[in-house]
Amino acid sequence: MSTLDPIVERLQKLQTYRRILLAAQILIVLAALLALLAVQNLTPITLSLFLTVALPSIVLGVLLYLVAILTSFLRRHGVSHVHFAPGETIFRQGDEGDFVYSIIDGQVEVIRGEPDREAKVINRLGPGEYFGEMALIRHAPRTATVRTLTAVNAVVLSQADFLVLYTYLPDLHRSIEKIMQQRPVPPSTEG
Amino acid sequence: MEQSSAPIGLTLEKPFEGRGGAVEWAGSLTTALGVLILIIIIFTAFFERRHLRPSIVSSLRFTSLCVLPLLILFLGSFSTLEGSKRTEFCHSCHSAMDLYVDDMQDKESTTLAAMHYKKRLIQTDECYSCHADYGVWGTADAKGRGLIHLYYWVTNSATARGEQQIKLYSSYQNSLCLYCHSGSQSFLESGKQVHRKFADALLGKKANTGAPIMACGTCHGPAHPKLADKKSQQSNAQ
Ligand code: HEC
Ligand code: HEC
Ligand code: HEC
Repeated sequence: MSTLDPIVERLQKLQTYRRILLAAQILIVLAALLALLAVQNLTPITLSLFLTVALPSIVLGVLLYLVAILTSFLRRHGVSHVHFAPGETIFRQGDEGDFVYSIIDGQVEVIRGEPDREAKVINRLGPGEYFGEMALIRHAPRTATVRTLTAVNAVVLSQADFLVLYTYLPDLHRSIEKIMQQRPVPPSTEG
Repeated sequence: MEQSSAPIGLTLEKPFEGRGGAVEWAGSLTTALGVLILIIIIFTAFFERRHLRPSIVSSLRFTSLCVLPLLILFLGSFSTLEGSKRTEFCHSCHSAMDLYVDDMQDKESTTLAAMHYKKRLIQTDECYSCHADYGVWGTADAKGRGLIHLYYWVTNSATARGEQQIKLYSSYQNSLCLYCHSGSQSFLESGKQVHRKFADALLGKKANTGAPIMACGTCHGPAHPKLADKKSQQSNAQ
């Protein structure tokens, strides 16, 4: 274990990626607004705001964006084992599918929201069970949100690795088909 | 010969504005970029979870969070820093600058600033041309001072309110005039070569204060009216 591992593990989380991206967006929006203000009506105040707030925000925003790209790269490569805290959202309904998760220990709940109805818990999963395969096989967005109930250790497989195994290991193929049939059908619009 | 009227929008009353200057272009581009950035960021955030392919989302992000911001960084800095040399910008601190701008633009005034303005001897950025020291350091210096002025303005000091005579930080340097005038024949020959005669005094500085031994203003003043004179004029008029 190198000292970098905890940092890298943090960065690999979808939530971290989202937060960094959001921060970058906020900074750039702020800078763009201040730039508009300064060119439309140049006064000592708008000029100083542009120079002291907008310029640093742009630099920081672009840097954060680059960090976000780095994290998404890290997420796609070399991830095999992840840890989640209790109550952490692993992915959300509608997200792009990227990994399949197999639980080593811990519990998660699967939540689905449908238009005009409240989101409800449709399943609970524990050690030995896996989730996240649907979006990968169907090339569709996530059909449900998955959140941890306890601390969870899980093994993850990237989309590419998973599809290779799925295609070439008939046993795996069959068992996944079976599980997918047992799972509640997703809303038809989401495919 | 038949006469035709002037094309719409053209006038001899104001400085001729046929081509937009670089500052105007940079300003318009900055505006366009700013609006574009806002549109793309909002659009991506809104449609990311529907209808958009991941590859499109990534390229929109790359454009709105990296390429365009870097462009606006350069164009915006250029247009605002150049724009801050404008006389209108100086004039945005009305209370403090009215005295100088109004006088300079007054057709009847005979101050040095007004003489230059009347004949449009300085094409644009009149205040800046006479007041910022030239060269890189001069400009940076003027910007730094600008921030101090902002402080005075925000704290509403007596000079900012236009109630107290403004003083320059250090005595006005002849070099500021000479950037435009030295080398010109009219300057060298006029007044029976008076400037040549006094060259040493015009170029030399007093050891203790750094002020010119003989300021151009000694014979060519005043550059601006004094606040006290304007006040007494106003009270006479009432
Ligand atoms: C032709 C050159 C010239 C122009 C144009 C000019 N100034 Fe000046 N200004 C001077 C000189 C020279 C002095 C120094 C006067 C002195 O020391 O007595 C001065 C002094 C000042 C001072 C200090 C107060 C004073 O009266 O000494 C202020 C403030 C000032 N100028 C503002 C402005 C503003 C604002 C503009 C634009 C509207 C402007 N100036 C345009 C040459 C100019
Ligand atoms: C940005 C350039 C510029 C600066 C700075 C400038 N001048 Fe001039 N000035 C001119 C030009 C151009 C003329 C017209 C050509 C000429 O008369 O030689 C002129 C003309 C003059 C004239 C003759 C005015 C008239 O009515 O014909 C005087 C006197 C003069 N300047 C003094 C000064 C002094 C003193 C300063 C410094 C406080 C100064 N100028 C700064 C550009 C400048
Ligand atoms: C000792 C007085 C004196 C000083 C100091 C002086 N000048 Fe002059 N200047 C004159 C006289 C006299 C004239 C001629 C005026 C005339 O012909 O009406 C003149 C004319 C000018 C002209 C007009 C040239 C033209 O005919 O278009 C300019 C420009 C000028 N001076 C610039 C300067 C500058 C810049 C300085 C400072 C470096 C300066 N002067 C300092 C006395 C002075």
